[in-house]
Amino acid sequence: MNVHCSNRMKNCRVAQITPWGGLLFLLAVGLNAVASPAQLDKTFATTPNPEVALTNLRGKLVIRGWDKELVKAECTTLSPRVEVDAETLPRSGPVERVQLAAHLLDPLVAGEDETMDCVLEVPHGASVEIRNRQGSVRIEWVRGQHTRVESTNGTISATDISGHLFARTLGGDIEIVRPSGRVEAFSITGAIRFIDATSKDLRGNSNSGKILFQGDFIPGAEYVLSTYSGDIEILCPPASSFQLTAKTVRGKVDNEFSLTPRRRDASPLSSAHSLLGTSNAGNAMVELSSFSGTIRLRPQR
Amino acid sequence: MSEQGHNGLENARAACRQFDLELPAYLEGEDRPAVQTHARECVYCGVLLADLEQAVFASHHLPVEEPPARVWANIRARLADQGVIRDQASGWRRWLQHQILQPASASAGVLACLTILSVFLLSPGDSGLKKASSWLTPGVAPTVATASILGIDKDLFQTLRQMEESYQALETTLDPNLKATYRQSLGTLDDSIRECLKHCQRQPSDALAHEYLLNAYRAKAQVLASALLFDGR
Repeated sequence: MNVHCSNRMKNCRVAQITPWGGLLFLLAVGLNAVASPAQLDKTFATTPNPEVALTNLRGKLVIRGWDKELVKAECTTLSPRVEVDAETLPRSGPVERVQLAAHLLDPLVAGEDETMDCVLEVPHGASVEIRNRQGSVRIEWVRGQHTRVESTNGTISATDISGHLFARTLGGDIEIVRPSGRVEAFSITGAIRFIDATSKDLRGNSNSGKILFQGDFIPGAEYVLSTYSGDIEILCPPASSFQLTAKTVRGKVDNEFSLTPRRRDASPLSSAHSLLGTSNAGNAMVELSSFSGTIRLRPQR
Repeated sequence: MSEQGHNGLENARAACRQFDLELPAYLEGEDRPAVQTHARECVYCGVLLADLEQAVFASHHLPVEEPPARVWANIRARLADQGVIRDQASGWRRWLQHQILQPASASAGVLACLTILSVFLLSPGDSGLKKASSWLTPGVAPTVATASILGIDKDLFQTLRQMEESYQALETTLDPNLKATYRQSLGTLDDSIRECLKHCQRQPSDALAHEYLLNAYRAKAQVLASALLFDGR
């Protein structure tokens, strides 16, 4: 197959393209058409406290609270065969519920082609529900009643969330910074980090991941942290006031706080690896347990 | 009842049956004078016709909305799966599509079973949990006879086996990264369960170890639920 250049194309080389070359060229063009990224932007005028839900197959999600009564989604897909459905309620007037869901237009799309990265801005007062099958979720400055984040293997990072926060991932890590509402965090193999929490009710559970709690205990609050084989580490100011119940089956408790011993409970705990004591006035309740991990309590210098 | 009355009733029923047969065509706009004639004579059929005509009238004034594209994709996939339509794709693509779709529909069929398991395993304070939990751990799965001795419902035992099978069927279709995550999570939990079981056999009075055993089973049920409900497609 010959390609002829016009005389006006000065730098054009006359090329001879074989049938195989042509085939490769067409294949490359075809692949490019299949995998070209697409930008999907949607904005909805909402009430101050809408419910916002986003379901994604794969990709990075960032959700931020802002002081506008708008939900704005900026999403990029790797393949044009991935699309976002948006459903809103009610259909007219300020929206009370926005539901966004990534879906495949072609059931044969798989792997990286499923990717949709998304930045979602929501009113501060929004309640948010995020499901990202594969990929990380970062959520910030959301003060709605509920925030729920789930992923199969992605990391979850939640900063300045003031409502009830529920975070669950199987293989990813979870980091929760400055939460002030009720917190529940679960991972199977990932680590969980709580930084400067002011929540009154905080729970964390990981099977084999490590749990770190860093910050002070709030008077009247309750903290329940549990692992199977992962370690639990508490780093808090020396003046922290709490009642500690630390239990392990085969692990150990390594405590650097000066605790006032409490009489052992009459519960049928046959394991000897437990520590019950009070630090200062004992204003917060701290319950730590691990089957075979080490529980460490250290004052924050 | 007199013979004349009986015949009258039979005739009326026959007319109603004829009305039922002709009604769909009449509502589609075909000329069926017998439908209107019978509706005037029979109160019951008259009310029925009035209701249906009202529904048809209202439906014509509803806005027509295009369903999301995924609805069409799903319908097409399902029809192709059932052989109703034939995909234009080449042979290997058709084969691949079949391999992908078949376990998904199978997993949908066992979702109800999964719900039963989850409810059973997640109910707090249920003594049956301790008994049922050992089913889930490879290598310590009880026989039906053992299940019977433990007082476990045989049907539930079978259901659980089906659910595990459905997960295994689903696993072959999962993305490699997801599969690795599920394997790692389930493997970690299985290790915990085995270790707890051994400990509980040695120290049956260790309440904390029992608590960990139950928690490991709960977590495993949640992982399976997540796989079948969230990642099944």
